Amino acid sequence: MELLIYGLVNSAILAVMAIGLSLTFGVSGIANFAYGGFYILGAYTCWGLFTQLGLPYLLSVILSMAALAALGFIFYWLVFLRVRGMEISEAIASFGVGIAILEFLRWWGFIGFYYNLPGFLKGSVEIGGVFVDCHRLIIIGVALALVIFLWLFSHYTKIGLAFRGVAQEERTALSLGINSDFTAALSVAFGSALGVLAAITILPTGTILIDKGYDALLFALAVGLVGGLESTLGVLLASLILGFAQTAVAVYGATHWMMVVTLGAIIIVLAVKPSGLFGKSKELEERV
Amino acid sequence: MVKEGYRKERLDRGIKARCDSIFMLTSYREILYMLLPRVLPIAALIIIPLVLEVSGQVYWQKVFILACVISLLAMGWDYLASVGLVSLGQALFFGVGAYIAGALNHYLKWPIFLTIPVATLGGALICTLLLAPIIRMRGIYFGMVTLAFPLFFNRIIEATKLCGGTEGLPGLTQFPTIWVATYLIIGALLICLFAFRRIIDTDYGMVLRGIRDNDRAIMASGINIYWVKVQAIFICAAAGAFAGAFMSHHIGIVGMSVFALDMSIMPVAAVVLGGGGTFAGATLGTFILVPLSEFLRAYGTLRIAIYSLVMVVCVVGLPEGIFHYLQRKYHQFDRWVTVEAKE
Amino acid sequence: MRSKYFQLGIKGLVVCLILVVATMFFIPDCRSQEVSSKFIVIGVPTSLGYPHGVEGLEAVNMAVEEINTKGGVNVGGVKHLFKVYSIDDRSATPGTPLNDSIMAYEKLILERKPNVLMVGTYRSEVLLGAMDLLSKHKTIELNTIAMSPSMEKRIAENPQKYKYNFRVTHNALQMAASIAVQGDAFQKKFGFNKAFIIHEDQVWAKATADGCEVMLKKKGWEILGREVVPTAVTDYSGPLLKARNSKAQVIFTVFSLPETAICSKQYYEMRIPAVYAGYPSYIVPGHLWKTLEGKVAYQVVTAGELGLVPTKKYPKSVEFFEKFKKRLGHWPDADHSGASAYDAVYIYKEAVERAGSLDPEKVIAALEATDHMGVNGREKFSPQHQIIFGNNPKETACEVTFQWIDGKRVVIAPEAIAEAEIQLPPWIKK
Repeated sequence: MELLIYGLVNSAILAVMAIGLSLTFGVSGIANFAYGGFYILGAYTCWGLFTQLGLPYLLSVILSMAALAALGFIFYWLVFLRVRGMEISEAIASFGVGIAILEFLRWWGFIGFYYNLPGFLKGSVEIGGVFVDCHRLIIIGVALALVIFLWLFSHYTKIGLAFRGVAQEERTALSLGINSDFTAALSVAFGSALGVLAAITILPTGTILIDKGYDALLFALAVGLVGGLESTLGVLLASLILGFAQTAVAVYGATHWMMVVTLGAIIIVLAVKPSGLFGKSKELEERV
Repeated sequence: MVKEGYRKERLDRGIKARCDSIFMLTSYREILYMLLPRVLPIAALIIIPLVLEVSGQVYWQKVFILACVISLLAMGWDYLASVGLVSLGQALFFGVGAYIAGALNHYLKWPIFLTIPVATLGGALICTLLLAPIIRMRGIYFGMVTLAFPLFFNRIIEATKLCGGTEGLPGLTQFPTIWVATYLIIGALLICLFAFRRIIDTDYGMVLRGIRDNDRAIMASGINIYWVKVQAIFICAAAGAFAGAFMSHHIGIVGMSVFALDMSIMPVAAVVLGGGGTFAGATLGTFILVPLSEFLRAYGTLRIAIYSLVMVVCVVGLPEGIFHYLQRKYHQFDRWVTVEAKE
Repeated sequence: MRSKYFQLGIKGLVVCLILVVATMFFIPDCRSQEVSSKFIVIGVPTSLGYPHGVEGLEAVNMAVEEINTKGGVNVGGVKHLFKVYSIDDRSATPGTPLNDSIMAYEKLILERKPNVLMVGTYRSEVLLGAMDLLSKHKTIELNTIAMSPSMEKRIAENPQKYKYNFRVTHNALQMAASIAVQGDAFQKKFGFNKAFIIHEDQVWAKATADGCEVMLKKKGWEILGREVVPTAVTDYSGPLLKARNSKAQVIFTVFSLPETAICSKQYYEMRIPAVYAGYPSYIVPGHLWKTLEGKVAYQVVTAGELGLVPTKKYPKSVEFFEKFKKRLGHWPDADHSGASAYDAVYIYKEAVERAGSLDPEKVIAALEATDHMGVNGREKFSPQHQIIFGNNPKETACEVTFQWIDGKRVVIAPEAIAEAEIQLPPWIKK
């Protein structure tokens, strides 16, 4: 029972983390490795607005999402645009920005548990003899909502279709009147905002911690890679697989092996099926 | 920078044209021109430790050694990148070498002159075997797997308590004097630098670069590109493993943190700063970045933030890197010429 | 031609960066020139972004200012003033390479030529690695953070080589002994004998947990399980669930990282029917009740240093704590290192005065004969250079066990300084 509930919670956490990255990297094909940095920056922004300026919680959530979306948009024009198409440079540049944000915040002194966000709901519930706090249940809800949203968004809205179009064949998309730079910038912005949402959903279970940024990037990548980057179903399935595997390992083995399971999964899946369990479109390109 | 109605024209210097194509050096100027870029770095590498010793900067000797170690990793990275494999986990090679040397010395009490060669070759072999299954992957995907590998090893050692677990293996044999260490690593650095530059200019090197530029064409020429890639990984891993083995004997302890992210990022940043594909650029980059990160030590983790920003600025603003810039200035001059109006 | 200006901008940025770096190059060097022979230099190599390091440094500064305003140290008839230099060894940041931290030590030693190092690194790995370095440079170190008993083991193996290391704070085994004292309290009052141990994955934590297990078993406890939490994990539900399922009555924890405060919170939210005890050092600070919204209620904690959890039964601790809190401007965040760093300065001062010289050999001999009434109790070194801890501050240095009740830290053990008796959380039926 514990395995079931906490496995589900863990999977939900992974899914929420992965969605922002999946949107930018998977759907529109930009490797935004600064994701971890944005994730934590968003959390601190929200913390600052809420506790320092005393704004209502919902407002500060929305404001911080908007701020980070704007930042993502600017970030695209300043950095990505210059190295567009050179995957390695994209990765290096964005990874550099991510590290710079995280380490700068660390230097600035954002360490300690003063920095924690309130949960949406207090208290805990008992399900089948297991106590779960309400907040963790909400994470499951958010994860489901986000997965559905992402799927609907990328399949039925114009922007979503444009994102996928740019990822699949940029020139054809251009010829169909999609402004590829604008679309790509938008996808970075969306991804960042979703990253902030993820941070605000997940971090109340603990405190805001710089190292969580690195974790977020790694886990999001793990989920994305295992599931197949452009596939929403893949994200869902991969987070279930990884989430349950981690929890199972933690409950029956040692907590130590949680990370090993994740990394092992990435390595195996990438070696066997480079485009992920559900990835299709990029198969040929990556495998040679 | 930009003049209206003019454009910049770049031409080889006369001296370069003569030295390149005539193959006859007729004056001291020409001999100097040819020798300077080759002799200068060698002389600098050999003299700098002596200068530091004379001026009493003992600490900076250590920094110098660290720079040499990182530059071995950076050159390895550059070599792999010449085949089109982008590694984001140089720490893997470094760590495997460090642990092999550490374990041999700690448990079996092997002397240094045995552990380092064994760790170099053994480490290279192990890394090659580990990476062989994913050799078919390209671009960013290869990078991600290599990024995961060092973390994976880190966790495995943490979980299995292998080789001392989190405590590491302290009390390894250290080099008898700092001079042995310094000139050993300088020797290794120079060998790698000139060997890599030579290899990349041979026909074999052309195959390597060909794989990066258009692997299908190379396959079509009847060359097994995977075999060539395996060889490249072996060479890169050997350089990295040597660096690791050297480092564990240099500081006398090997711990889990040899797989740290720093060891993976520094080489990439160095190559990006110095300019890729030339190996000299990688070395130049490390000799800028490592001292820079030492100056910034007083600023705590801000230094990481700054050197990652340097990396970003270089990728975006100076994609060619410092070394290419210098090389161009050395061999070419530029002048403004009028732009003829279009018909 | 936007890109033209962009490139100009980038080049400007590069130039600026280089300039900034160049100026940074000169600043530290100018400062290093002015070291005069009338000074005793204290080096503080530690993680300056983290509480133990920051507070250790502050405490050293506080002691140094007190001593300097009173006229300094009398070394064989010549007055010397203390001077403090610090360096960030980054050892508390997970993923810093070992060589980086050790180089920080070396830089400090070579450039400032300190007579003594204080506070020291976070990571035991670095502590062990730096021992060789200290013996090479003949520099004394009084550690107040890292707790691995491997240090004493190495000193015992090779006392001549490693005599330069001293530890002024507790080590992991002493910590374990204090946790066992907690166990006594539970056993005596409630008859508990089933325990579960959770600890984080650091050398000292492992050693503490090992020691704790052995000592508890000796006292008739049954250890139902043991769980190791890797660093930088912030979900503790797995280990807590295991503890619950094992039907343990007490969970002994050994934690030090900031994120482990979450474990306390999660424990409270999950209403685990076992008392949360041990050494969860991150819930030691006085403001934690407020920060964690009271979710530390009834948790039992052993704090390393009397000076940081003061009790009226030992007035010196209260005096120090008030001074220190005023200086920091807030509650101390760290559970140890502050008070012992303060004591370390005085211990060193007295040793130097007794030795009448700054020669390391003589100072070490004097340090070994230390008998100092400090804020943590009466401090003497063992033959392996470790402060001896016991249960009465008038006889030895002393660790404190307290319980969080109604927003206050109530000292419950050892008996010589206890203010109240241990209580059970209301959700546990006896």
